[in-house]
Amino acid sequence: MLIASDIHVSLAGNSVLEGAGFRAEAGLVTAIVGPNGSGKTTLLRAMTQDLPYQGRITLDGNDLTAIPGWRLATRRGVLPQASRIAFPFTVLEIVRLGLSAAAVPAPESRASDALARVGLAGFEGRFYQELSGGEQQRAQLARVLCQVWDPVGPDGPRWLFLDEPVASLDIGHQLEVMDIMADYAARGGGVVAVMHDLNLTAIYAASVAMLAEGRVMAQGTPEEVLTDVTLSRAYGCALRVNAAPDPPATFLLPHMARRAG
Amino acid sequence: MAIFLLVLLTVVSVLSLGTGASGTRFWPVPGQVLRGEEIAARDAIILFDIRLPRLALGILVGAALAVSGAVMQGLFRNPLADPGLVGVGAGAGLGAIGAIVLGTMLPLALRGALGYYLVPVAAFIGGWLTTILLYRMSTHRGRTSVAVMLLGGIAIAALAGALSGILIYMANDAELRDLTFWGLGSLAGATWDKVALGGALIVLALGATPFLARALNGLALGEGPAAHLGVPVQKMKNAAILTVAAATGAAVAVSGGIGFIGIVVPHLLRLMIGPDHRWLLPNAALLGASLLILADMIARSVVAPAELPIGIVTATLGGPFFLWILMRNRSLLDL
Repeated sequence: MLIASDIHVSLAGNSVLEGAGFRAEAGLVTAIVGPNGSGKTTLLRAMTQDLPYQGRITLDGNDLTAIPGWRLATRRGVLPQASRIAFPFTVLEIVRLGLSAAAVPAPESRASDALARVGLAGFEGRFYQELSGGEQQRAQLARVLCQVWDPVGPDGPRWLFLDEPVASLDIGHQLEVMDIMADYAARGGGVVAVMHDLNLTAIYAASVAMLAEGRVMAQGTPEEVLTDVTLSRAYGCALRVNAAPDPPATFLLPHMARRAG
Repeated sequence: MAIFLLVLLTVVSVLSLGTGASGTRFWPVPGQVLRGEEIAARDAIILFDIRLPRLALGILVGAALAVSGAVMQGLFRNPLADPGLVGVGAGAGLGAIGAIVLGTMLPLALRGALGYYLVPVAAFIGGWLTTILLYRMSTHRGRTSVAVMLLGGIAIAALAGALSGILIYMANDAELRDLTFWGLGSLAGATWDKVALGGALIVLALGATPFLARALNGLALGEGPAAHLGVPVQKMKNAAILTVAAATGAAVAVSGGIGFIGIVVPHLLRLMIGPDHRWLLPNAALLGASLLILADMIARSVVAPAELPIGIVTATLGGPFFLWILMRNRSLLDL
C-alpha cells in the first residue's frame, strides 16, 4: 500500500500541489488524471522522490525517506516522460541498465525478454537515439520492467511508477502497454500511472485520482470519479459520459465536449 | 580492443625510447642488459634518466587526460565536456602558478610537509574548485545545460588566466624561470622526481574510476533515473569531480596544459567500442597514453634537434577533430 498524505510541492516559488492526498494498492492499476498543469506529474515525481515535497509518503507503512535508495531500487521502477540519453548506447545496453539495480544478479536473457514484452524484439543492436519517440518510450519501459521483473519480491509487492506511459504511442501499442500494466497488477504488483486518455483509464484502472488545481478532487473507481459533474468541473468544459454495453465500460466521445458557459 | 591498445602502447613506447636527438638506439640495450654487458654511460643516461622518465610521464599524463575527459563527459552527460576546454585546466594552472609564486609565503611547516607535492596539490585544489563551480553553475534541477557549461567554462578560464597573469606579474626572476618552464605544456624536462610527483595523484585517481563506471552508465539516463536504479547520485558526483580534479590537476602540474586528448580519445573509443564506461575508461587510459607518446615523438622529431611544445602538436591534431565532433553534435547544443 502506497499512501501520500497532505503533499505540498512548490516549483520556482509557485505552489503546484496544495495538500494532495493519494493512495494506491498493490494488485491494482491506479491512474492519476486531470487537466494540464493540475499537478499530475508533480504528484508522481514527489512520490518517486524526484521533487522535494512536504507531507508524508509511506510504502507499506514505512516512510519513503527512511528507505535507502538501493533498497527502493529493488522495489520500484520509474518510467519518466520522454528521456534523452547522453551517449550512443544500444537498446540492449539501455535495457540492461535495469538489471544493474537487482540485489540478486538477474539473468542476462531478461533484457531480451523485456524487449519482446514491449514489442521490440530484434531491436537489441539498434542505437537508442535513432529510435522513434514511441519506440524510445517502450525501450525505457523494457528497462523499467527489467528492474522490477517479478511483481512480488522477497520484501513484498514491487511497484511501477509510469509518467504518461502511452502518450506517444499508436493505439495498438497503447493497448499493448496497458495490458502489460494490467498484467503486472494482476500478478500482485502495484502500478501508478499518470494518464491523459480517460477512455483507456476507464477500461484499465481500478482506481482513479482526479487532480485539479493542485488537489486531488476525487479518488475512487472509474465509475465514481469519471462522472459528468466531476469531469466538467475538473476540465472546465461540458462533458458527457456514456456507458458502453458490451463489454461494459465508461467512455467519453470527443465530439460531445463543448466549452462550458 | 584492450589487447590491441596494449600492443599499440608497447609499440609506441619502444619507438619513443628509440627516438631522440642524440641518435641513441634502443634495440641493442635489452640484449646488452640480458647478456650482462656494460652499457655505454652516455646511452644509459639518455635512456634511463632522460627518455624513460619522459616515457613514464607521457603514459601517466596521457592516461590521466583521457580518463578525466571521459569521466567529465559522463558526469556532464555531454561528449563536449573536457577539463581543458571548460576551464578546469585553467583552474588547475592557477593553483600551480599560485603555489610557485606564493609558495614561499606559506608557513615553513606546511611547505615542509608538502615538499615537492605543493605544486600538484595546489593544482588539484584549483581544478577541484573549478569543477565544483562549473557543475553548480551549469546544473539546475538535475539537468545540465551545455550552453552554460561551455560559456561558463570560457569565463572561468578567462578569470583564472587573469589571476594567473597577476601572479606572473608578481613573480621574481627565479620563479619566472619555473613558470616559463612549466607553462610550455611539454613533457620535456621529465625527471623521475616529476614522475613520482604526478604519478601518485594520477594513479590514485585512475584507481578510483572502475568504481565510477557503472554509476556513470546509469547517469547517462539522467540524474533522476540513475537514482531510481539505486545509484547514490550525489556521492558519485562528488567522487567523479574529485577524480577529474586530481587527474587533471596532477597532469597540469607536471606537464602544463596539454589540450584535446581528453576530448578526442573518449570520442574515438565510443565510436569503436560503444559508450559503456566499464570498457571506455580503461581503454581511454591506454589510448590516451599511446596518443600522447606519439604526439611527443612528433614534437621531438619534426624540428630536431629542437622540439615543439607538445601542446602545439595535440592542438593541431585535436582542434579540427573537435570541430568535427561539434558539427556532428550540433543538435545537442540547444544554444
